[in-house]
Amino acid sequence: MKKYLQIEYMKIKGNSSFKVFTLLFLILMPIIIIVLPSYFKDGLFGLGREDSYPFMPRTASSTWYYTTYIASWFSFYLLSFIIIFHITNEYAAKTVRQNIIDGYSKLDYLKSKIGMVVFMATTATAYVFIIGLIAAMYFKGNQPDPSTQMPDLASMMAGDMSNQSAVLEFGGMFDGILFILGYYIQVLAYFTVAVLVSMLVRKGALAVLLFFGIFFINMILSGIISMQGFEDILIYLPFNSFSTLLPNFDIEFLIFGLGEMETLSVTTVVVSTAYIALFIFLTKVIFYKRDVV
Amino acid sequence: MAEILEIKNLSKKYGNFIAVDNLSIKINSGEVFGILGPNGSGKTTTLGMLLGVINESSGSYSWFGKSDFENCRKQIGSILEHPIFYPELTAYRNLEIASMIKGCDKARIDIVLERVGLLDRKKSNYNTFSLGMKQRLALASALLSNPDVLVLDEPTNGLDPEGINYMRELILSIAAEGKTIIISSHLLDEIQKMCSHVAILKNGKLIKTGSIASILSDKKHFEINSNQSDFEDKLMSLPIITSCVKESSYYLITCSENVDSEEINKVFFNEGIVLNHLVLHKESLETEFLNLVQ
Repeated sequence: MKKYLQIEYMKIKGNSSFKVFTLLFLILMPIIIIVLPSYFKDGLFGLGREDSYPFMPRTASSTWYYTTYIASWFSFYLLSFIIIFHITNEYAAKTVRQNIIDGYSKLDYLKSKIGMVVFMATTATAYVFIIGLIAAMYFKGNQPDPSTQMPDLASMMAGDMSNQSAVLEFGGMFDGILFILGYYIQVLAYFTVAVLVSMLVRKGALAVLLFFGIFFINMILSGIISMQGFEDILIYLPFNSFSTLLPNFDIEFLIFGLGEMETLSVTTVVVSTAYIALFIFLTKVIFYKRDVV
Repeated sequence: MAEILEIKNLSKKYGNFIAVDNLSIKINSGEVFGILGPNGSGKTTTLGMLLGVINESSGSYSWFGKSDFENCRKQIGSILEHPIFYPELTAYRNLEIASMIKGCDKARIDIVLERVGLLDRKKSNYNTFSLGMKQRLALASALLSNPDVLVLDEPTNGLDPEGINYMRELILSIAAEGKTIIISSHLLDEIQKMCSHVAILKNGKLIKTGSIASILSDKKHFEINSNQSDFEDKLMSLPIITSCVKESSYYLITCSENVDSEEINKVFFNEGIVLNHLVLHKESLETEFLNLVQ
């Protein structure tokens, strides 16, 4: 596997889209997770609204939640594109075929790509973990105001924010660390979808369209299923199960610090892992069945 | 001689179109084997199947007598169609990737670059190379693992005469080391200069295979002439002659049997004709190829 990863790194390191997307991921994510919350701690643009910045951690678990939630969007839009463009560029330049001619078997080639996405997901997760840890340590220093009361939702909805504090409470620093596992599975799932669509259509722009196409079809299907009243089965749709790994934005929790943070669901983990296995299997079937052109 | 490659009834279909039709060929160790055919005759598709990048529709092939191709991959160095490398990487880095895939020693990189005359350009980016240099780099890549067999698809395609000559000499020097070389081309003169054996394809079908010498000697052509007035009439009535074309100063005849000049002379003498011009007409592969494919 080390050899496959070394080869993939040699191939990708000169690629400009890899450099741009990686830099954006590495720089923008900590800005949103750490720099902006600390800057807007006293309210967005100094307007005195302490909670006007949406990603303000209040508890350790919310820190891990925000970190992984924001990172998941970066992974969806940036890191998945690295994979799509890396694979489709190989098809465009016919280096896939050359790799096979040079001595890779089809299985070797697949292993190198799957190895690459697992490595990228692991590295991204490690980076997100470090960012989350820094955020947790940083915001832990913001002790809650002892006079802080749990806010009255109705009064706050009416605009009375006087009792609200930016940082309400902080438990153990690793509360909510399971979201890191959710992020890892989610990012791996997005990456396997990226590999599948890239090998299916073999053209960069088409693969990006299909990647989003699947996402939107999933959304439409979710809407239809919800309207039919079968909400219990929504979790079994691929993108629903992936996104539920990091529960959807709870605006009430987010702005007012109310309610319970959802935890990682075992069912979602199982369903998502099953989809990852299915996508890898489908990729293999497509790659083996077709000529390498 | 050991058998390097055996192709048995190999076919490739794209829908209703048959690109390669029931192809069977044997190639022995040490041969420089040319696969000839006009554009679209199935040469590249055949090589693609033999190199594992195109799935065969039916039939089989075995390299080195083994049906498991995966274990033979690294004994075969190949160029398919045109050179393919990572454009933003240097020649050295590209060969480094190939050497890691092939699992060969990186020390071979400088050796093969020197062999193809690119050692001084090893740090240059691939996208700065001319077509000739790209072809040579592709050959260097194919030689990295010091393979027993080289498969070269159109290795001189697009090169200028100097480039063609350089590549030809390079291939011949590799062949002189006893390596088996399989070349596909539609440049007949090149094939005739480099190959010991040839297979001619048309519309995916094998129409002729064998050593170049045997293919060219299957039918012999002679330039003949006589001063006798009834020569032309008698010429057309001889069963041994399958075709006759009048050139400016002689008749060019093709014989149905593998006969030599002495026998031709005897046949005409028995008919009462004394030939005053009898020359074995040296056939080119190009003429034979055109006869076969048209």
